[in-house]
Amino acid sequence: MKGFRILVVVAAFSCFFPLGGWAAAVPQAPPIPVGLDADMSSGSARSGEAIRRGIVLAMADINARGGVLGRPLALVVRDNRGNPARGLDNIEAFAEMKDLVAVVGGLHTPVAMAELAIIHQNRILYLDPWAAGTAVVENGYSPNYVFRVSVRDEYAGAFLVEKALLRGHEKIALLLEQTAWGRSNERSMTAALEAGGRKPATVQWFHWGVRDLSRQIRAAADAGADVVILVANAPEGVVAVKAMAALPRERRLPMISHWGITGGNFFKEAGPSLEETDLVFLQTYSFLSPPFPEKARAVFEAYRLKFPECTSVPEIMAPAGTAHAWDLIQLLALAIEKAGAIDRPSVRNALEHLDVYSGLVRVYRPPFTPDRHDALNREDFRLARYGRKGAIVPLSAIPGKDSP
Amino acid sequence: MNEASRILPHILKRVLPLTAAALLLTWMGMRIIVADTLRREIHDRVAHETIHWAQMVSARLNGIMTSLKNLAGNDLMINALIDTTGRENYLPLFFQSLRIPGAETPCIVLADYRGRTLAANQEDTPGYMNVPWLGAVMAGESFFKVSPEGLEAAVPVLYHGLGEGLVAVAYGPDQVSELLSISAPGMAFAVFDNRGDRLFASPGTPWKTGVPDSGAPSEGWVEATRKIPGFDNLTLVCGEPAASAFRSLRRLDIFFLAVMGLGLTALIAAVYLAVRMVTKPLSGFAAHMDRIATHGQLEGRVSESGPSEFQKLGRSFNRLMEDLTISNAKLQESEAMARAILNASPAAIVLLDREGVVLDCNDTYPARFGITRDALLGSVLWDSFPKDNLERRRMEVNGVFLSGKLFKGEDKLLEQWVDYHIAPVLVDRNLQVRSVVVEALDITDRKRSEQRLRVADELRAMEAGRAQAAGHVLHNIGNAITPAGIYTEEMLAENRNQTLAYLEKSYDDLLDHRDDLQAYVNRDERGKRVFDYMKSLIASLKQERDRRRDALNQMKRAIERILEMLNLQQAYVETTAEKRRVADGNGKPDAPNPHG
Repeated sequence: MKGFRILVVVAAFSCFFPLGGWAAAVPQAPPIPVGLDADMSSGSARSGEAIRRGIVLAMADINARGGVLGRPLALVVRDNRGNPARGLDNIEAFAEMKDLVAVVGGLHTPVAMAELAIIHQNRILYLDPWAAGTAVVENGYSPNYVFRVSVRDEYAGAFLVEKALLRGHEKIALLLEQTAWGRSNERSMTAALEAGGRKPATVQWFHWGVRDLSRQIRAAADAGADVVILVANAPEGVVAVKAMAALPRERRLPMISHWGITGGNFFKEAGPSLEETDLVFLQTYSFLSPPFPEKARAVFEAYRLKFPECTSVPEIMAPAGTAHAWDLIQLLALAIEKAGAIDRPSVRNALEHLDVYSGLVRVYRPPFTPDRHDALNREDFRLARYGRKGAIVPLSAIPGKDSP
Repeated sequence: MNEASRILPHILKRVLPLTAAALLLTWMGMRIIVADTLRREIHDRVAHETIHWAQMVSARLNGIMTSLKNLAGNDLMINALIDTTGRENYLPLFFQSLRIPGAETPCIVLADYRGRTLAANQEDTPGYMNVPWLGAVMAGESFFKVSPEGLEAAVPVLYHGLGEGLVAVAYGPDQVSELLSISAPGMAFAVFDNRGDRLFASPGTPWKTGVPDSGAPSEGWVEATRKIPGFDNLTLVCGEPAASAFRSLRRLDIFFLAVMGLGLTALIAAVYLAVRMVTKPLSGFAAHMDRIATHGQLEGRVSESGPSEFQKLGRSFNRLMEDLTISNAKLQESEAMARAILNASPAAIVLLDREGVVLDCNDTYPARFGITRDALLGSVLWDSFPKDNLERRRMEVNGVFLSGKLFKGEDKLLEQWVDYHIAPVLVDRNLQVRSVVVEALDITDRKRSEQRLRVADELRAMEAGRAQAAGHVLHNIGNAITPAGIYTEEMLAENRNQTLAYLEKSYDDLLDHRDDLQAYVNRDERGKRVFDYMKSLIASLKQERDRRRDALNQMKRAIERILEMLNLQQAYVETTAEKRRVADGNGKPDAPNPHG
């Protein structure tokens, strides 16, 4: 709890005094709190931190421009460690927070799925910069308070299957975590395969915390699969890669992974095993090949100033999370301005009716509609791999490695 | 009752208490050592049992904790914390099939990080939301608590090293007792918590509440306490009834008592046999000796049977007896001769001690006083001594006792003249005279003769030649007798042989009759026997010759010379017998007077 308080204070301080040059422009009105409910300390802590950085930078940008409705935005961070129970408690805590306008979620679909009921019960705007579960947005609630600038599994599954096939793989094995997120991908990928008249070579499940995936990897190989599509977060992704690397070279299968692995310290923990496997994974945004370089450069400059330990673009951790969070906070600010109030239903309605917005990730035309709360689609997806020093490099940025 | 049976109680009285005490001390020492060793072994055994069962209880409890940790570490549990939408499909079924070692059907719960139950194997589950240890468990620690109310244990479900939930197990009081149940034949067990509450007790357990103080064990029990390894708040008490534990010690006591009894019995038997073996020949030996001593049967002999030592002893004794018999015979013979000499003396001879008690006397002395010798022996001489001469004679006797020198005197006693001398005899090592011999010779006749001699001067002249010859003879006799007297005195002083005294007496007789030796050796019955006495004396002296060869030889030569003189005098007397009868006047024979 103490660590949490410190995190909140630091986050709020960062929002109020993000940069020396902006300090004079910070309004004196009470801030409008925006919550962050993400894994800040567990296996996918890097995703939480990437999101937080995107929010901080966006808020700093907004606050530098006078805030919203004359009030600055302030970030309140609560760590859910990827644990739905913690997420629920966080949402309950945020629900009681005065003037809270929205909560930004984290990487974990299961957490988001568990929170849906209380989110809608308390009519909390839930801005999703990462969790890809289709059901997070297509949750059945109306009005739907969930808005996402991230991957949607429905699209991701089809995208990954398509990329696998384009890469010449015929038999696709699915290695999925036994959660709502895994099941979401199982459905989308199976559907994608079935659309092409195919079936998965095998579907292997694993649990969070699994320490060995050799059996599942061997099962995939034994099933005649020539590629494995992995849906896992960083801790289990490391176990999968190590299990694959442990196979004889001739039996190793290329792996195409969902982007959950980039939310943690995957590169470091996978170590040499990463070099022994052919691993590519889904990404939406990279500062190395941004759609809008000027904007990206400006954000990076702010990033570098705010987080001076980062000295170059490749060092930006989980850049998609940061970019998604940036855009979401910008859209939230626009919605507040549009609503002219901070009551969440008004802001929710405003979000559904925003105009075209040119964000960091893409130009949103518009970002959301009453029927569409996912701002991204397959066009925003790309494959990437880890560079030598752990940088996430889009294949399009690698000569000769462009898609597929 | 034979001798052995008579002696045995005495020997046993002396031997048995000491031996029994030694045996008892040995037994006590052995018992103390063995009992101490046994007691230590018993305590060690109970302690080892306690350790063993404590480890077993620890293993059971650790088994629970291990099962919990395994369960919590199972990725299904981790996944169940995350997979909120899918876990209902598999988690209830999984939990219903869960079993944890130990008691049957404990309550097993999967709870989230705030203790809210997510899944359980029972409908009624304890809540963990407000338990004080939740924070510690979420920080990664395990929780274990057992109390009379039950057992609770919880371990965190860790993901990425962080506590995201917990798996807990709860046992009811009965299940705790079942879980801690220990049984071993003859032993009692109890498990206490650190508050002293009893969690489990086997049947017959004496410990009700509180861990027994190891320094003050329960009465009648051998017990040990031991912390349950890994569960320091639990203490196992293990004990065995002392009556059961120390049964072997009691057996040992019985064994030792039996050994001691047998030892004593064997000792008594051994003593009896030894006594019998020793006393039988010894009692025979003693009986023989007693018979010999009682009846003075010097010819009696002891048995030379039995053990070799007794045979040797018997032989040695019999040899001594033979020597004694011979010596006694010789002594009797010697005494008879000496007594005969003494009694033959005309002088009254008495042997006195310092008090004047008559130690011995010859027959002449009592005859002079008209009493028997037996009446005189042992009496005080001075009681019957004539009053007129008593004090003077007593002083003279005492003087000899003091001076140790011969005293000679002449006195008129009971109208008779006596020539007496008092000689010290029996001088002890300190040169103290122990007894004296008083010898008194009646010289009344001599005195009368002296009177007559004065009357018949002229006859004396006629007899001058004869007198000169007699003087010459007497001179020679004196020359011969003087050394004999010296030697006799020495012998008397040394009291080596009464014969010397008799010799002295003979010398005195002759000296007394030096004036009438002719008549004495020819007519006096006593004088006639002088030759026989001398011969006997010579024979006796031969016996002493070995030791006093030189003295006796000289004595012999002196006596032989005296004999020659006497023979000469006897030959001479035959030619002058008529003249002497004239000189005597009254014509009476000149017989020796025993009351001299």
